[in-house]
Amino acid sequence: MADTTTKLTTRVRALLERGERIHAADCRDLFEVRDITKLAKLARVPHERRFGRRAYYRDAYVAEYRGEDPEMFLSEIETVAPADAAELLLRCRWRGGEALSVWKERLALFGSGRLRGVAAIAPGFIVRLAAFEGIRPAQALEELAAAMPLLITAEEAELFDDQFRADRAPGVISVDEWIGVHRAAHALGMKTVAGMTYSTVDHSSEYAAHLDAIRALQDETGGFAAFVPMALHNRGVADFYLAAPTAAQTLRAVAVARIFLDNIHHIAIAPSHVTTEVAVVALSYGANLVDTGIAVDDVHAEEHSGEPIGALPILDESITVSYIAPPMATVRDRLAEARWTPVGLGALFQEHVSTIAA
Amino acid sequence: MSTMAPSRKKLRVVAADFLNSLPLTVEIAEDDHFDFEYVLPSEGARRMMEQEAEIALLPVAALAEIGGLEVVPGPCIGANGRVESVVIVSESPLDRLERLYVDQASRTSVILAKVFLDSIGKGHIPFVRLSGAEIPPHVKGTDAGLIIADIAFKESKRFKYRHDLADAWKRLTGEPFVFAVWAAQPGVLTPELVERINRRFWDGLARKHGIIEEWAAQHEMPKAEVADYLDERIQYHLNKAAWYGMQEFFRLAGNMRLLPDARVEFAGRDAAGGGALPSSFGLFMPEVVPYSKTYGIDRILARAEAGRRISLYDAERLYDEADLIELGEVAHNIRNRMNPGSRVSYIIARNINYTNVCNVDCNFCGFYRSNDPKRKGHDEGYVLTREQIRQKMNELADAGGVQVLLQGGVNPDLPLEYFTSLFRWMKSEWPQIQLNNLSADEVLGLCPNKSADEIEHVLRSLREAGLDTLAGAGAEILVDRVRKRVSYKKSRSAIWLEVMRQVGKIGMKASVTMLYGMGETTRDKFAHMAKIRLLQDEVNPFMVFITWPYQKGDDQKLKSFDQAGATYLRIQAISRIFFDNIQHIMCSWVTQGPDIGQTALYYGADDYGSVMFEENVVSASGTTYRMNADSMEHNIREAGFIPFRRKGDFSDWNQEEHELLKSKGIIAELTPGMI
Ligand code: SF4
Repeated sequence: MADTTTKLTTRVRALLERGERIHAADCRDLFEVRDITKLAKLARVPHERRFGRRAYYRDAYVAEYRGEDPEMFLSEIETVAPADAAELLLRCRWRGGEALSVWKERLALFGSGRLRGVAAIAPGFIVRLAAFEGIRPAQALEELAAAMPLLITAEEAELFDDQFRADRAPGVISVDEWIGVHRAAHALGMKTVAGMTYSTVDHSSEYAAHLDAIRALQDETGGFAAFVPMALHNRGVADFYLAAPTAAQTLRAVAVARIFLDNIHHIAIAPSHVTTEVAVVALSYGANLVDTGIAVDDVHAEEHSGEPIGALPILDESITVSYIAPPMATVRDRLAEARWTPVGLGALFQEHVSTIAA
Repeated sequence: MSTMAPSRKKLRVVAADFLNSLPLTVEIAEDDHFDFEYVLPSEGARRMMEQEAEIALLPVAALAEIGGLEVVPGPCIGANGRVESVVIVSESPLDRLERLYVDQASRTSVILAKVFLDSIGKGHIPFVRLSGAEIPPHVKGTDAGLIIADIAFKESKRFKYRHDLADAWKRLTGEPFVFAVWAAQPGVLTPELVERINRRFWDGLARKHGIIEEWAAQHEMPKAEVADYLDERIQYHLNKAAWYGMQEFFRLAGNMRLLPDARVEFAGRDAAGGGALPSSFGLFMPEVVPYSKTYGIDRILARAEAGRRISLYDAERLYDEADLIELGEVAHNIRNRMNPGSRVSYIIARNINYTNVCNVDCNFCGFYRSNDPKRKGHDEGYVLTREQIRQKMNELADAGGVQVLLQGGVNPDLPLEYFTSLFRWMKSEWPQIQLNNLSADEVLGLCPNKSADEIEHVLRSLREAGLDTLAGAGAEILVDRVRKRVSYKKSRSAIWLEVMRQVGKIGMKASVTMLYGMGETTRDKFAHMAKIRLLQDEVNPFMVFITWPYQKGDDQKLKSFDQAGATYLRIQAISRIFFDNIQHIMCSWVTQGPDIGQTALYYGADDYGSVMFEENVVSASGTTYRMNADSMEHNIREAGFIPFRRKGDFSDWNQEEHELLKSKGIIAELTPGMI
């Protein structure tokens, strides 16, 4: 295996140094490499080329809208948002039975606030709202986007593998629906976030196929501003330590994503999935954006509430701070302490759209 | 990095008041420009290491250990041939020697002896450290002694064989040997200052005959002998030959991994290697390429990876400048060399915090309760009963545990007999469980006089009662200005090290720790490591090094710093690179969480620590991670390593041995889900 790994990493390094593309089969094999340092050294090639020692963090204030009175909600949020927040990132969920018109009104209100607001909306929101209204997802998307800037998130990307979706994430939208929403958003000129779930069990082939599909879509539309690997927090597993992936799995997923996705600018990592400390360490493995706007799925978090503290402290953090990202100041401090140059990045990645195009 | 700008009005200058150093120091001691003090060479080295002095007359071994210092051109203490004050004496010829007693006060001489003996094929003979006066009576048969200074003058002639080490060096290399030079913190020296030191040196040489008379009278030595020593034996000029001799010593000692690779910079040059030089004395100024150019981070890492020792200054540079992944990779490669086989150990052990009563009052501690009835929380103080301890030990035994860490406050109400009786009882009830108990401060709590003899007696009593290894907790940062701030009443670093010295001397083992993040400087962190490495060279007490950051809880007064997991990985990796003489590095998942703990296996750690039953000291700061054996093995395996269960002494836990004990009824069946 050692020899095979050396051959693989040598070949991949040569490709990366020449700025060439990695084949999907190599991507699968990279997921099999146990030594995360080898992956980090490969990921560094494209990472350094793009970012040097700069590390980005989201300087938007992130809040979760849970269906409360919109005016009250907005005024509360504007009161508590820290002074150094550049933007407001409102996470919105469609809770069933809510009409498009209701959401348009809400978003228009949120969009008129003191802080520049962006609504983070999952593809599933669009698909379910469109089904409820009997319209095409692209239409729902367009109408909502007219009310307020939208960021279409990576949620429910899971793995683009039917068996995995049926077994581990029943009830999520289909792969075609997920891709359809992102493609429509890109057609409207929006930047969106791609993602992939990685779990406690290795699915090297499925991961590679998933990344390949993401890369192909990006080739077609160029609309993904970032890619985020998302740790799957399992529900009700008998062995508590198998509830979420370990740091080695996280760092492996980050590194392979950076190596393989040559056409997506940012590789993000979510402290709410992996802890702030692992997120900062992941910057040395190919991530460049500590994304505090991504939360652990609330259903999963609720399932774990009240559990004793176990092998994976993230579970505990995700319960108590599931949507409260680490304060911006903490993230900035950690980045600086880890010898990165912290750069704030707006919710919509505005300042980088031109860089990405370039 | 530690560049020391001369912000004080007077520069702090230290030197030993040895006979041979007086011509260099008498005038400086009287110069108002300096805040001068005579101290022991080890204290001078400590002050330079901890940046409590700007200039010191420094033994060359310390110069290499600290690294990054600037040498004042002009004066030195050296010898171009026979010196008479550093001599190996014996009753047998060299080729029959089997052991060498050495004076622990002179590291430079000890290393010189090692280099010399190696050159004649006797590098393998063991060195035993004693104080100078203890050595001559031990020299008999095939046991030799390295004697220095006054003892050498007075005693060497009575032995049949005498080997003057400076003379041996001259014959070995053809060059003079340099024992000490004036060294300064980087950025302190200016050409004017170099000139001033040289003027004082020349004025001091002019007073040499006064010095000889005074010394001979005070030490009841023949004047001619003192005069011969200063006039004929000592070379005071750091000329070209002496410079090459010094470099050669660094090279040979570096090759033998006795000293870090040393580079010496001369003062008075700017970054480009030029700059104004003092001219009045026509000083020898060899071409010195600036440190940063000769030794970039890559080169420090490459040489460390190849097994060379790094200096304190190198460690600081790695901390400030090295890339995290590169640091991790080198640490990991060194770990693989020192502990091959991709195996990661863990242990089933437990803490028992037998008492929380403590009279030390550390600012960072959320665990202890004072024994003072007037203090808040006094009524929450406890000492566990035997029954409570029995219950915890049974839980450990039922879980297949092999080690207990009995650790508590420094409780003034518990005498030595409490511990000896407790340990005897524990050993008789649970013979399969190793006792890894007590911190250095708990041991010191049993030593009212804190003398070396008393510490040795207490340790021997505890060992005799069943103590297997001493826990290393309480080292914190072994720099007194930090210790005074965070824990005024805790042992000072020298006494903490003395406890560990005695541990090593009586053949026991201990763990050693570093608690960082209390506002200490980078220099403090690595001065801590440097002191540990020196002690390990001396008496080899440490099996394993563990570090973690102080984490402030709600009840603690002391602010915490350096909290990033990335910083933890950085420090741990440097510790693996730095400690070429400590076998194991344990990661601290208990404080960092299993994820950073797992990542730390790629940053030099070969041990994942212990499953956690109960822990009250770290968790008093709010850190509450737990892992069982399944979780630990899963995490180790998932990172690409092979987990194995170990015993307290780092040997493999043996399933067969375990089954045998079980069949004899000495230990119980494992309780499923317990571990
Ligand atoms: S750290 Fe130890 S010595 Fe210090 S107060 Fe706490 S229990 Fe006492």
